[in-house]
Amino acid sequence: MATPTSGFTGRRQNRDTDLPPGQYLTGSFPVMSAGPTPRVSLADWTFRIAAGPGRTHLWNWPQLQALPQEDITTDIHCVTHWSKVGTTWRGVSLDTLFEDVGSDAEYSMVHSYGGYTTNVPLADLLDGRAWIVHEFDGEALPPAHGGPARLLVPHLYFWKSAKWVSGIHLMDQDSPGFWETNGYNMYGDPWREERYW
Amino acid sequence: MDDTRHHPLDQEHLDGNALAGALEQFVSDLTSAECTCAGCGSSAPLAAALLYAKAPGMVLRCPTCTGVLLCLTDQGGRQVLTVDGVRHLVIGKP
Repeated sequence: MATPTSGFTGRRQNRDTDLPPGQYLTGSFPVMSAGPTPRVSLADWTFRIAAGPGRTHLWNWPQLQALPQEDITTDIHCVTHWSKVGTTWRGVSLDTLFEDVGSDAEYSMVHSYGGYTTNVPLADLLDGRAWIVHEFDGEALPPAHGGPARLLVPHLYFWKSAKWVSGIHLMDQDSPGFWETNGYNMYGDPWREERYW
Repeated sequence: MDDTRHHPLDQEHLDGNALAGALEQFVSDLTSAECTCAGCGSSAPLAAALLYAKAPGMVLRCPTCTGVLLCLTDQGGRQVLTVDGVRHLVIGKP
């Protein structure tokens, strides 16, 4: 599958000005965290998609690594107003992970080690728009940035790209996750500046 | 339909405005309040809790179980405080 590079950079004329409204460019990568950093060993790491009772799909670390890997170059936008352009990641497309998952659900709750949650419509996780990534900038993803693996869904504000991701539970109805319960938007489109309730 | 179910017309209650004075003490020195965690039941002053501020909001966690006590977010000038993890706050001594 093609990486999203052209799709995310094609509209850009000027990197300093063509950012979503209210965003500024940063060269650093600020560490944002609402709680203690969970330490998850690769031997214990699993990722699951729960599509309903008795319909759980589970991968361990070697199984994730054995799936087709993609290199992604994309811009990311944090709701705290910083944006970082041209970030590079490596991981597995959620299209690959959802290949054998049959469901009529329209919504999902993303779960993380440590208890964090965030809700994302299922459609936003598919069609080459979301990945489970385990490398950043050519190196193993450090725990501070969500390692061993995090969700990457860069067309939404970055709080949706859950660090330390452990699973995705499909839901028939939308339901707020952690930040969505605490004042932030249910969807979080940076181009529409959907920051708050 | 009994309209008084949602809009009681009795004389047993006051308007919420009458609570303003009693709540003032919670505003003046809230960090000294003894907070009981709704998750694990342990108590400690809010000042002893664990604050995670490098985030889209300020997240205060229980020093015993690290569960979220409260969360304060700034919606561009409007402050939102959620306190789902607080069983109760106690200010002052008997």
